[in-house]
Amino acid sequence: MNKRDYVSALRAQLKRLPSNDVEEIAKEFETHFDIGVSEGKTEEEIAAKLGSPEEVAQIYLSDEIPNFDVASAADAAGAPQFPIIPIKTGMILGRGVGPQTAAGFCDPVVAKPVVNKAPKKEPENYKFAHTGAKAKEEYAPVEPQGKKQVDLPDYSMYPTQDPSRMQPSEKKEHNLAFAILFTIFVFIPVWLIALALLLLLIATPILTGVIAGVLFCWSASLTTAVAGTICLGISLIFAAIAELFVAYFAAKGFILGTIAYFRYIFKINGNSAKGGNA
Amino acid sequence: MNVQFKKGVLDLCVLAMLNDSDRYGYELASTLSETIMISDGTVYPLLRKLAADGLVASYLQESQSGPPRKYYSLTAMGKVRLQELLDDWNSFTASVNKIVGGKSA
Repeated sequence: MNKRDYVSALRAQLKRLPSNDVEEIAKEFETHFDIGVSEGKTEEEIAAKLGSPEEVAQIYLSDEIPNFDVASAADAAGAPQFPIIPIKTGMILGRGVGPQTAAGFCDPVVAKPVVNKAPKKEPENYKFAHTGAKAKEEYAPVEPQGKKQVDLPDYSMYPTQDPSRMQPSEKKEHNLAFAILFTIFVFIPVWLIALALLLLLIATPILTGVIAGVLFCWSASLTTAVAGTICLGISLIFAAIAELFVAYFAAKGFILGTIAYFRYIFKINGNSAKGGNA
Repeated sequence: MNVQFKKGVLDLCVLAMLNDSDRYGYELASTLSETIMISDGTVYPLLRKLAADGLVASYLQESQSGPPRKYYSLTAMGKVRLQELLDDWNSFTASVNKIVGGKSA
């Protein structure tokens, strides 16, 4: 592990701390590497001697837990100094708590409990970090074989979107029922109104022409009726051409909207419909 | 040596070293890791904690070789604490020596 990897791993582990503190700590470790390199050591040697970034970060983080230093409080209260139940970082963070952490061990020298660290899960990448192994090839991160690892979204927050976590029977039924009900009571009424408006839009020029023709035939002499109808007819032709464009786009939107609706309501909400659609 | 044991005396060692002269982190880390076999990385969190407690102070200083170094020095409070720890240490080792002194298994 080189300087850059080490420091960035450390940063990642310290995310919980204020960014100023993280910068300060990162800088100190960078300087540590720089001095070591200027003394002729390799970055890998220096990293191996530092201990794993996880271990180092753990110490920083455990120092940040308020009232972690139970012994000082006990000192102040004049409490007897014998095994104390310490607050373990692991208990708060929900990490594994080892069998030894049930009671602290009161260090006689500095009169502080020395908390037994919970046995930490060894990060897979740093197999030999805990041994302080110096051979860099042993310490170097094991590159994942085969395909590149991709950060998957945390599906636990969105249980219904992860098909593998869905209870197939009940989820499908529930969502299908919702889709059907919504379609019947909301979508179809809206759809019928839209359809009626669309038909009216397309039929308007034709209806207007017919009504106008009939009215003229009734109300006027033949000459005026014919002349009126021809004039009206010409204007209606132009109106119809314009109308055709409007009707085309309205109809297209209507049909596409309907298709999109059915796709959405059945694809998103249930697996079963997905099969039929895709 | 027992890990708990080392951690217990680490404060004492760092404060004692700083009492002799101001030192930078790398120096403290490499000396301590050689003598009591701790990993270098343990020293920095400790220094940070001692600074937060007001026992040590730090300042940056240029060096002829390499980058500027962060030096640590002992504060007045640190001196008091060192004295306490030394008293504890001496009385503790004296009593332990009374029991185990001169024996070998």
